[in-house]
Amino acid sequence: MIHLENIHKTYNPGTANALHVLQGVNLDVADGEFVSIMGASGSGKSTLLNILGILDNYDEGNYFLAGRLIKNLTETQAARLRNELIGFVFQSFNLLNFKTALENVALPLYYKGISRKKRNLLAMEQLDRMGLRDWATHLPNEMSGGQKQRVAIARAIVAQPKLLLADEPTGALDSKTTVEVMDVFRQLNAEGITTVIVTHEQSVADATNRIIRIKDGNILDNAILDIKY
Amino acid sequence: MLDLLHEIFSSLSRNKFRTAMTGFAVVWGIFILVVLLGVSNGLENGMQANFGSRLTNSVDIWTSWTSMPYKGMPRWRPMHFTDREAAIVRNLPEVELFSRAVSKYMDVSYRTESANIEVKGVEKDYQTIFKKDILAGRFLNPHDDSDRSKVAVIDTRTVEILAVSPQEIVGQYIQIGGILFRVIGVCGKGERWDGAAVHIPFATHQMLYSTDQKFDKMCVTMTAGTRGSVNKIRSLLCGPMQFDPSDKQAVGVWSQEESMEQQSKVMFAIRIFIIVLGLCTLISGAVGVSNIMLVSVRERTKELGIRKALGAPPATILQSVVGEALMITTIFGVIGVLLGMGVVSLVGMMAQGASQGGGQAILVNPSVNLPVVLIATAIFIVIGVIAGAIPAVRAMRIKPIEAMRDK
Repeated sequence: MIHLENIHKTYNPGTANALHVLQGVNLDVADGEFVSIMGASGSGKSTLLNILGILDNYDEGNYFLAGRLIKNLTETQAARLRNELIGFVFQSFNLLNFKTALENVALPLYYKGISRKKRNLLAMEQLDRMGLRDWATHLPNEMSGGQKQRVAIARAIVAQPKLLLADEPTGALDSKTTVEVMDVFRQLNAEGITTVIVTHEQSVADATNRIIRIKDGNILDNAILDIKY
Repeated sequence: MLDLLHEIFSSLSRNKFRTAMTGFAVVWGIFILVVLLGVSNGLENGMQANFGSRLTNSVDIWTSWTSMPYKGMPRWRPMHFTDREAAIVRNLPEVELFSRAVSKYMDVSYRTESANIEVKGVEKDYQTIFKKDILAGRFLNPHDDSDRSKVAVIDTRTVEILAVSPQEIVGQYIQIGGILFRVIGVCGKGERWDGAAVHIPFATHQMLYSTDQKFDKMCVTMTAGTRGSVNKIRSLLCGPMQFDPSDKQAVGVWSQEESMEQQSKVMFAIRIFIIVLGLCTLISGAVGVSNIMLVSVRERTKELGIRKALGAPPATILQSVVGEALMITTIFGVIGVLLGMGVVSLVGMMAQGASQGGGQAILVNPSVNLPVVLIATAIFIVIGVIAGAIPAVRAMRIKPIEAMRDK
């Protein structure tokens, strides 16, 4: 699913503030894997996630996603690939707070050009799956953190992406909700979606099948954990 | 398309205050523009109306008082025309139509109706110079003058005052200052500022009311541009009438053509002024719209970032921001046009009411030229859209990660 070859990324190149964040990262994630990326802040893990999510570009190396080389894309091409291949879950949920849960979930389908009727039907299906059918017409600020994150997950998977990328998905949640959300991820992974979670919480990382540790822009450790479930 | 409209509409209604403020800037800009155009039209029409209906090449010559001493004679001597001056003016090669004129207010009565009305002693050409329509009968002719006939041509205002119909009064006798005159015709009313008038032969008027054979006014038309004739007439008359050639007050000369030229220069200046003002209004409105669009994009940075992360192509971001600008300028532009047109027609009605009393008209029929307004609105919309496009392009380039970090 993911193949990274010698990825380099420098912020502010050529200036006094130049920051060589990724220094030749090599990484492979197979189809259907459930992986976590761990590292302290400033280690480059967010940068890596942005590159994986085609939200940012890299300076050197090659990135293959689902067999496609992701390099020198136009904004429009990048947007289409994000829409087709990737689902995002963020720490701060990033729901549009003037849209209902249903509208939020339906948004990626809008950019896919699917009709309103079909969009709402598919979105409702996903909300139902998250146990939020009754919350479909509610606005995000009427919901709890756990509910919001489940809406965000429904939105991430509604367009049936191949890869689910989560950036500190439990960072804003309490420990009980964290467990619930991680259960959702595990369940989705079991259905075949390759899942990559960036976290600094050991308990979250422990819930995945493989932990990739990153420090100072390099992969330190690439341990395959025992499956605990 | 429907979805796009829905998105734009929800974005606008989400920020009601901001939308209202932007809308106000647009409405105000268009409104001012429409009112300016309407008022300048009305001003122009008003100026035109104040020229009245006389021939363009007509020139009035009248006497007044000297304002300078001349050849040992004191200033403040009254001036009058005699047949000698009339002959000088009439024999000028440029002069085409010619009529002497005298005037006196007298009691005019018919049956039981009576009023104090201006009685003018004029000649045949007076009708042509002042474009008097004949509604019944005929105007004065040279025979009436040479015969010193007691005949009168009354205007429609007088007909109204005497409470008769034009057809009925022709051939009847009216009393002017106690003397019977036969009405031979009815002519149209004078200029909008004129009162009722009765026209009798010049010679009859002189015989009855100015036995010294003096008179104070000549109305003529001149060929080939009257420019320069003003000074020529004065210099020809100063010798026989004995006044200083540089004394502009002794004999007044007024040329319709020259004043029209001057007024059209003034009107041209006003029009340029209004065009410049209009452009400034358009620019300030456009700046308003572009400012608000900048704020809107700034406020929506995070939202746009999320949308991009979810796979919104940059073009749709552009569409939604530009669409917003387009919708604001169009909807509020139309409101501005309607408001402006409403105010202009209101002002028009008020101006009409004010000028009905017979005073000088400042504004006459202030109306807006619809194509001009539509073009102005279209320009405004285009400027608004361009103004919206600048922040939209910026929004399009925002990196989703940076945008989502935005609080």
